[in-house]
Amino acid sequence: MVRASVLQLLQYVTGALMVFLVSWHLAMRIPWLRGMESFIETLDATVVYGEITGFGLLILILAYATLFHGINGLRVILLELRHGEYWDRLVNVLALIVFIFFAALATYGIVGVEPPA
Amino acid sequence: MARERYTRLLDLRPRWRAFINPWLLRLPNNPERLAFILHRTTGVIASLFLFFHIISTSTPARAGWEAWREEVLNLQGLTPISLLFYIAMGAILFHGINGVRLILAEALALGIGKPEKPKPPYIAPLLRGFQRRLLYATFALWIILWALLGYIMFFT
Repeated sequence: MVRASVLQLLQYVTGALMVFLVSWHLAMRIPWLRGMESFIETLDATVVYGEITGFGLLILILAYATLFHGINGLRVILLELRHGEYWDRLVNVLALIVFIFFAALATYGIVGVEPPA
Repeated sequence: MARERYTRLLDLRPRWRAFINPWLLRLPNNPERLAFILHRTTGVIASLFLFFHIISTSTPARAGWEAWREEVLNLQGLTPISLLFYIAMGAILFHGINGVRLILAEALALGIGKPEKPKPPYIAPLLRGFQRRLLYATFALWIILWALLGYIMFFT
C-alpha cells in the first residue's frame, strides 16, 4: 500500500512534468512550427507515424504521467464525496484497474503501430 | 417598505462586472474558491478527455491508418467532435496554467504573504497583492491561449 503523502507528492511531480510535456504535445499541432499550412496537416498519417517512431518514449512518459495525475485526481474527488472502508477500497482498486487498462492501451498504441501504406 | 427591501436585495446582487471580475463574485471565501472550483471542473473534463484521447490515438495500432484518417476527418472544420475537442483543450489549458500558479504558491510559497493580525475589514493576504495579480494573469493567459488554439483549429 502506497502512503497518501507519497501519492500527493507524485501528483505534484507529474503535474510539473506535464506542464512541459503537454506544452510540447500541443506545440506539435501548431502548423507554423512544423512548416505546414493547417492543423489537419499535422495529423496526417506519415507525420503522426514519424512522431511515434521519433518520440515514442516521450509520448509514453506523457501518457503514464497524465494517466497517473488524472486518475489520482478523480480518486481524490471520489474519496471526498463519500467515506467508508468499502468505498475507499472500491475506489482505490477501480483507480488501479483503470490505470493499468489505459496504460496498456497507450503502450500498445505506440509499440503496435505499423508504418502507413 | 416592500419596494425599499426589494431595492436593497437588488443592491446585493453582483453587477455585470462580476462576470469578468472573479474578485467581485460573492462566493464564500471568494476568488480562490472560484479558481478552486474551475480547477476541479476542468480536471474532471481533462481526465475524461484523456480516456477518449488514448482510445482514439491507439486507432492506428488497433484498426489501421485508414480508420485513423476517417477519425481525423471529424476534426476538420466546425463539427460536434471538433467543438468537444476544443472545449477539452480549454479545460486542459486552464488546469495547466492554474496548476503552475498552485505549484508556485504551494511549493515556493510565492505571493502568499506573512501572517498578520486580522483587522476589519479582514482580507486574507492571499487575496491581495502578488497572488491576486497571478490569478488575473492566469485568467488572461487562459483566454488568450484558448482563443489562439481556436484560431489554429478552425481557421487554418
